[in-house]
Amino acid sequence: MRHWLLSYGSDTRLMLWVPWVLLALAFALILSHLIDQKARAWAWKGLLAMAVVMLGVLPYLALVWSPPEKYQGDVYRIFYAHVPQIWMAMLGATLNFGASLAFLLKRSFKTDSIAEASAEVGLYFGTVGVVLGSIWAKPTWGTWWTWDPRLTSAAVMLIVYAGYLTMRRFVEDPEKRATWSSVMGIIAYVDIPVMFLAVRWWRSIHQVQSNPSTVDSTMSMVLLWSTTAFLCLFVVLVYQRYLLAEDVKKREVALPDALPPKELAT
Amino acid sequence: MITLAADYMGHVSGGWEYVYAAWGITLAGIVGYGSWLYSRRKKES
Repeated sequence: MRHWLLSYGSDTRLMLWVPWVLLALAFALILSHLIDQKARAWAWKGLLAMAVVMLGVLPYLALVWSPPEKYQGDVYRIFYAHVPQIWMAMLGATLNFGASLAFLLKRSFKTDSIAEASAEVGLYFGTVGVVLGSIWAKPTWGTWWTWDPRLTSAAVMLIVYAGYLTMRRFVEDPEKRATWSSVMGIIAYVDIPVMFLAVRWWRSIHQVQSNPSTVDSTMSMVLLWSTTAFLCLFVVLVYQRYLLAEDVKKREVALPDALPPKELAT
Repeated sequence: MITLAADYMGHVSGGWEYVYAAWGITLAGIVGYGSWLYSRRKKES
């Protein structure tokens, strides 16, 4: 299998990008109303099945099939889980930024639900990604944590989005909550490009981004597989979290009618 | 080979315990967050 994949080289890598395009299309269709509810349900179940299968195969590819790295030995295998999850955190933040901007422009609560969902899912992936980075750092850098610019900006990302979600819980008025969190989501996003570029601007202990020309093709293909698997999971989780946010909003709107008037209650 | 990592790193031997810990946390995260989200959706719908 490895020989077959390597013999096709960059063509195979190119083919692995196809699911990404299909995923983006599926995600757009799920969130839009271009397809009916039944089709949307099938689409997200298909993505869930894809995530389960790809994540099920991933440990074999990452821990057995992929060869050890020349300098880091087997420890580098953490990258296959660490890197895609940090990317999903950045994707979540980007989606949150876009949805926050859309809310301020369109005042649609659906965009607010997308912003909430992407912030929470992004925070989940970011937390796991940072913890995994710390586990990798111990045997390679000799420390669990250091205040390197990349690590610091990643920590800022976690704190800011945790603050964003906490703030949402304390504001009861849906209109105010959506507006304030949109503003916060836009400001919070400043950290993401800083985090991405920190390794180039300051050249500290965290290595700069690798690219397929500096990474063995077997490794880059496993990383691409892993990223696609986590992307499927990301889409499924954001969609489910979006539906939860929509359900909560419906309950919030229905609540005043369900309660007796204040005069009668007292 | 990740050549960019070679500038400042020595050879790391072993380390499978870190690899298993990282993948264990990844699995626990997926199961944990997935279950939490599922239970909240069940409760709300």
